[in-house]
Amino acid sequence: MTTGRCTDAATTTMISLVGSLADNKSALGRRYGEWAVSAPTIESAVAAAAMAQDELGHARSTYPVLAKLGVTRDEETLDPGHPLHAIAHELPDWASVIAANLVVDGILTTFVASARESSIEPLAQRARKILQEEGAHRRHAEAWTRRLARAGGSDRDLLATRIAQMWTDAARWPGPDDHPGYGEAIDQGMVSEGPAAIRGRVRSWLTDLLDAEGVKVRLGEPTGWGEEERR
Amino acid sequence: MALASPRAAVEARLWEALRQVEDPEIPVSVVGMGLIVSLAYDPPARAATVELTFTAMGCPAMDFIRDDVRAALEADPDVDRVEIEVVWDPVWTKDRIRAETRQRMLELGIAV
Repeated sequence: MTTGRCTDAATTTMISLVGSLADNKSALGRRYGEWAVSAPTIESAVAAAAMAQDELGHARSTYPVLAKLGVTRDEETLDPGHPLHAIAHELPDWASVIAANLVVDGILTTFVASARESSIEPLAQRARKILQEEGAHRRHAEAWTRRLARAGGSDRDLLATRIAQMWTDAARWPGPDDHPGYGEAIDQGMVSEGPAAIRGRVRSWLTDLLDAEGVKVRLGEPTGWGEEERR
Repeated sequence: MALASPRAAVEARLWEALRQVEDPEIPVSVVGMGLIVSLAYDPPARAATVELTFTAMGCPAMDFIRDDVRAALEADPDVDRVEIEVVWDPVWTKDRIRAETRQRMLELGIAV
């Protein structure tokens, strides 16, 4: 990926966010797709396939936004680049799939929501369509979270473990609360809110969902973030 | 070189051509499905420009639909060039399905 011109801090931050958003959606699509034949029920396998198709479509539609930001991608493939470590490889169990659906999809979608009225018009257009489609992903994640929590025993314990693992990785993605480029992006109307607000929204939603099921997961502040790969 | 027809006449013909393009997954036209957001003809350039949307970002029929739309427009004697832009705003919803298409889908047993 190369930039075709000098960019300010806000644009540089948006290039990083948009490129990484697409990378992670591409990886998430692959992870969902791998469970499209081995989910616990035929209905959930079909749902995994549908979500995979959505995520790959979101990735494919998001990469062109980079061109509007002055970046040329070296290839047109859906190479997932540098996704979060948690979704870089095949997920080991269904609880991991649901945790990714809940936490990774949750963080990414909350970021997308912050771009719904972006001054980067191609991003705003895509954001509105992505949000329309992500509503079903959220309902799927919530329904399966309740189902696994109510199953109790090892299913419930594994879900809690996987959510905690996903949170450690995904909550880091937006970056530090005081990132200067992010602040400038907000000032320029490229996004409406920053890392702290994104984490806060997802944490609040997860806490309400998990508390209602009596599942305890610590959703702490992330540490250690690499700017280049956002992980 | 033949003179281009008046803009409105060509555009009317192009709309009719697009009405013959079927969605590969459902036997109804892409116009009826509300996939054509806009169509414009530029007589001096002999160019047709289409804004096209899809029901879903992961629509597996995107390439087929794009190819079929292009072929339909290129078949017009007054069109030398076709530009297709995929747009996501307005967001496609079932409200974009035209009434006659909705009726046809119901006849086919497709809930809308």
